[in-house]
Amino acid sequence: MPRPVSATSRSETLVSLIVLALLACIAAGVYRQQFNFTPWNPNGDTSQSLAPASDKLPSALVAHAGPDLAAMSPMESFDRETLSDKIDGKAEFYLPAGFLAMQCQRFTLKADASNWMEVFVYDMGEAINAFTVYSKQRRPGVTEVADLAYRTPNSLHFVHGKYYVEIVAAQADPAVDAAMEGYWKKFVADVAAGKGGPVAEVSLFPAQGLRAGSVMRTTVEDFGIEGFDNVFTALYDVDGVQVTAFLSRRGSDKEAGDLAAAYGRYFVSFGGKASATGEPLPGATIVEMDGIYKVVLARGRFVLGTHESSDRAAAWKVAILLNEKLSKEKP
Amino acid sequence: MTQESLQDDAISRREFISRSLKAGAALAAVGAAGYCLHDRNGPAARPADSSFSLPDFSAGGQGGRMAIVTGSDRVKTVNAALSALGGIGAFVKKGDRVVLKVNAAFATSPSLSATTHPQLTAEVARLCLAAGAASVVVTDNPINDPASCFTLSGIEAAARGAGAKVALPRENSFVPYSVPGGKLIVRWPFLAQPLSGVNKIIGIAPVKHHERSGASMAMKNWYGLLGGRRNTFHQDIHNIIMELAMMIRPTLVILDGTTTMMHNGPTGGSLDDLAATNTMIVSTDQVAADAFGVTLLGKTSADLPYIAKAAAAGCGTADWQSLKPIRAEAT
Repeated sequence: MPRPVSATSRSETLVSLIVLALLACIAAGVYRQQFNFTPWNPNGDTSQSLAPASDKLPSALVAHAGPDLAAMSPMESFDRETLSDKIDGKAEFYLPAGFLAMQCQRFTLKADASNWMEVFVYDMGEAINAFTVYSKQRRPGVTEVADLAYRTPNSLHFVHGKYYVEIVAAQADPAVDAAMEGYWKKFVADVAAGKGGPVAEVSLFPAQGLRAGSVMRTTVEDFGIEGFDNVFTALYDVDGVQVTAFLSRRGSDKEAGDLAAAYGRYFVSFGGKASATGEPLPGATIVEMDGIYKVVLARGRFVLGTHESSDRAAAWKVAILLNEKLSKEKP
Repeated sequence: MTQESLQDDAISRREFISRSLKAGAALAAVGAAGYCLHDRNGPAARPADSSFSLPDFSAGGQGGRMAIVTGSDRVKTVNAALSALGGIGAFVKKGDRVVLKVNAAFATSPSLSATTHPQLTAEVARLCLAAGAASVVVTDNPINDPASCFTLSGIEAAARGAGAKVALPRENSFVPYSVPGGKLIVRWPFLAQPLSGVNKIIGIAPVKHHERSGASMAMKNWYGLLGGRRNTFHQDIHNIIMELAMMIRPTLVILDGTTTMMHNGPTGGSLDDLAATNTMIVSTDQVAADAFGVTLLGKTSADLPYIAKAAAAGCGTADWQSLKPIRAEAT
């Protein structure tokens, strides 16, 4: 005789009850959770900051650490959206300069775990952008350890191609100094410099009277003249007077001429008094404003001159030197 | 398959119809429930205002008061400044529940002065407890990973050593909050949990240069009570600092100008960014404290638009001298 079709086994009944119980638990969980408001991440999207931000950066930072170092934290990566999660308002300094991505990691000395340092590698896209952030942050009176590299009592800063690198130690200490230097050298040896060679404008400033390490690339806001970007400045000491010289490579001779004229007009509009000059700088303009002298002229595709000097003769002298140096350069 | 087994699996027409009706009814019930529960408007982008509000934390009857003490020893200078204002007992009473809002924004060594100094944190916590505070909680929502920030800045160990509790932000520490009259801080995640039941709040901040706002001092310190993608506020930095001042009516602010970060803030990184300015400011007026603090950076309050904005919003006075600050020296 066949078994009644409506009959179920005890095991089937048990499984069914378990499934129903699970569904009831899920329903209760959903009901309870709906009262816990979390429609947006209240503390930011920290997962972003721990994810690789860019494939443009060098490989894991630990790869460049010497045998005296041990990783103290995981490597973190940040992009344009998340950079401020690491450096807060300082991000506003890097972003306009072409920042693409940053990786950082802390390391301790194996011999002394309390002695630590953090490495920050900024991918600035091009060497000229790396030079911009390096030069604008360069601390005065520091020790130059190489071309585009300096150290302070507790930190080491350098440019390697498109990368701007900071190594910051928690304290000034000879042992961590050696570790920072070791990291720097291994990084330079390991990592391809990327797009862009040396920044040519740096070498266009004449050496006579030039204050070492003072060449800086500024942004448009620094001069306040619309369109006057890509400006390099340098400090000169002439007969005890400080002079700020500048030059900017433009797209054409005409653009250089127009900007030189705009520069003069800008300061005249604020009360400056302009006067034309003759040899050896024909076409140059001197503007005197509140006892500060500015010289500006166009030479081929360059706009050049002196931006700030309390001494007319010193400003004129540096402008002549700069013009002579640029005259020897290929257009 | 045998004929017998086929018979075992067979069901009657009545049973088939019965089961089909039950299955259909179950499907209809699920569909109807889904239809009833469906939210046609979708989730709100932001939560509705909660009932959370912030009390006025100021100590009654104190008005605008300020002490400026010079000296290099933070423990001595903060004690001298508080004594000049009548002692900590004038602000913290027996049974008070106190929050010390420190600046623990970065996972850096205290030697870099990017964060509140642990020694100062410990001393203020100790003084509050000695005055009879029922509890002292040290908190901040740092820019970087909270655990690393509180550990590497030395704040956690110092606070715990002095008998205070440390509250690190967690996801459920935040509630939506709107500053009354504010336009930026509207239904924004606020670090509420550490302030639950608290009736006194003391802000303790270092004096720092800030790339975006010009300076980071007492008012900017409240930024660490916000969560979410707060970096978007950097685009309107002066108004957000004004609203931060509107948000908190503190018991006291302690502005530590013992060492001032003069450049490359708010992160700094080099000891060369720092200057020994040997000044401790304690005030009931956060606007006045910042207005004086900015002078340690070689600027005036006119250089920081948020000071005038906060004063105009009724958060204090930019004319710090009008408070007739008590000046002292602690050697």
